[in-house]
Amino acid sequence: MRILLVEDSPRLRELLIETIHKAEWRVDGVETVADARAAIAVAPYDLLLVDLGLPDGDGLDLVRGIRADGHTLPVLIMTARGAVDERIAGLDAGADDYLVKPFNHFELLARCRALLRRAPAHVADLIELGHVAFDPTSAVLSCAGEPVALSPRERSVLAVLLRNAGAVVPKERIEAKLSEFGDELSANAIELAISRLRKRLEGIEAGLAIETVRGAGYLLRDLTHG
Amino acid sequence: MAERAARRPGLVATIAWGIVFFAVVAMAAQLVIVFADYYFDDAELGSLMIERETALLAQGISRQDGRWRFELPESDGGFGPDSPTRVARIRTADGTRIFSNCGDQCREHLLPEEIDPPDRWTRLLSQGKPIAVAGGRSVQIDGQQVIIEIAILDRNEAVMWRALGHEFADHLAIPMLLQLVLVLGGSLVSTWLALRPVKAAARQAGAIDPLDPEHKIDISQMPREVAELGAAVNRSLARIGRLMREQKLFTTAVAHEIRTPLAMLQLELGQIDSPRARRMEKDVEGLARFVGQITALGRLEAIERKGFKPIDLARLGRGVVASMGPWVYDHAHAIAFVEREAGTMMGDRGLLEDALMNLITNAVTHTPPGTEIELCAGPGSRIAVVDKAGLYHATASDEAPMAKAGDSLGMGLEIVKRIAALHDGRFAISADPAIGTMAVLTFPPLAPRTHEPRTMNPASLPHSGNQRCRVI
Repeated sequence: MRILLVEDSPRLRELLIETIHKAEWRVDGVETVADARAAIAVAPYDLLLVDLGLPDGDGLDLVRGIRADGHTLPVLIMTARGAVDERIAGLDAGADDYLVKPFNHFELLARCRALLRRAPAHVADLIELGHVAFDPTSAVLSCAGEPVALSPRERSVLAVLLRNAGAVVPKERIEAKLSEFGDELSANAIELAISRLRKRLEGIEAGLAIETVRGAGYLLRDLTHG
Repeated sequence: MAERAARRPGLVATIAWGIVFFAVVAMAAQLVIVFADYYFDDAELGSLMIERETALLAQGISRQDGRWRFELPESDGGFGPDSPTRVARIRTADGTRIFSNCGDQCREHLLPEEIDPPDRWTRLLSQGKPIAVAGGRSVQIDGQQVIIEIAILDRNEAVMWRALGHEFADHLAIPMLLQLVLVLGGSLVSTWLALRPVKAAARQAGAIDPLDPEHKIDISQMPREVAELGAAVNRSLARIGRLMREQKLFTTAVAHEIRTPLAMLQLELGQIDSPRARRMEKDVEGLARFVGQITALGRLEAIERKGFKPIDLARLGRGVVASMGPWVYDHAHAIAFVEREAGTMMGDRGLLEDALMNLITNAVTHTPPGTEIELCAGPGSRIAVVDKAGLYHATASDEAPMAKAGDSLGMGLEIVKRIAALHDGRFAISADPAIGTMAVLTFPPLAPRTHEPRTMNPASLPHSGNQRCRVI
């Protein structure tokens, strides 16, 4: 996993690099928009961490530029601008997530992992969360190397939740995924699938919890971090 | 403030009352002067009495078929036959007697009939009051000269006052009233015309949105004096606009300058494996929250209302719950979203999300683990955050900002209160030991709703049937 970090504060850059190295990822740290563009042009990165206030321009311009060039690598903005409208502006520019300073290393790494899981470039990769691993291609869930039997609906629901772990997934999105099976969904089909999946995960001590956020959707939490 | 100003009398009314007051004072002064002038000048007063009484008698003279007729006017009954106090003789220039109520008294007090009398004459019969006076005047009736001569001898106070009253009415009251009406009318019309641009400027100033730094008063159609005032207001508005822009710059700079070192501190602490480092991390988190609140307060001062857009409260609430959900569950709480016929309002999405996030953060911070928090959108343009901490919360409420209301609000709730005020809305908190605490934001709806608007006081809202978002 190779990450590009764009941060103008040398000390913060140094600390972030140290944190990312501890997660056993490779990281290149640069200071300016120009350096970042040059780095992206010559090396394939899996994730871009970018500060907004940079010496030669705004980080948002960098994000817009790489999106305009057709790059699909996930982008996490790290900034001091914490207002909601500023966050919206960041996401509108093409960023995938927004982390407001200050943050601790757990939060930073969790966000990085979440973005890497969702990244289109890693669709075929193994999704690891808690004590389980899920292969989206074969739709096989395994815990401690042992496969776990799941129904097709449970697998579909889990795939959606795993790709969006740490975020609330609207019920409509899961419904849309399940309706791909072609059969009509009963009124409580989602609840039933979630309930069964929850029991299975508890049974294998997956280190995961599915929370029902009533009125908003479902949230898959990794209980093994933080 | 505006209501109080509306209750005050207008400039036109003030001017009208001023003119009327000084006119009354002038009339009273003139009355005194005229009264003194006549009353203490017996000769003048006597002339007035003769003038008045002969004019009255002249009204009774007529000529029909070449013959003179006289009928004593009702208002002049004192000249009846054999009156001992007033005598009158009316004759033509050729000696035809039309009326007479006297014999010797006429000869004694009036001019001899053989002489041609002057057109007007008066002679005081005694000095001092009551005034005894004789006199006469010639009048033209039907082309003929008629000589009216009278003598007022005694019991003449009524005649004197009647003459004075007539003089006041004819030569004082009526001209002055006419003048008053004209002056008053002219002054009021001039004032109204002069005030029209001032009124228009006041209307424009009243419509200024303090949150729109580009709002200006149009002074192109104003007279010079009012335009100067309008220009001064525009200068103030421009200054406010500059301050708002500088405030925005300042809050951004402050946020950056403080948050970046805090991030370094937090990452550095994360590398230290010690319980003291964990405690310090919590302190840094508290400091970061404080910085967030300070910058949020600063940002509120720089908000421009012209950027407000229609906000669907249900969508807003659902979005906030989805966004805050992971954080709430990480803090061992639960959260839910409930919609009850939520409406639409004009507002700033970012600010409203900030307000709801503040309320949810407060609810999580000040309730025990396991507490469920509900964000309820509706009914109408109302959105509430309810915690179900129940009895625990009631006993600990003295320390809990969510249970505080009014002037004892903490900074987070102060921000919420200001955000509500910016949207012309209201913020209220109520607590029930059996349920928990409810923080309600009520805003004006985007468009009038068909049903009766709900009151803004949460305590007076009806309870929902299913106990969801139950008003505490």
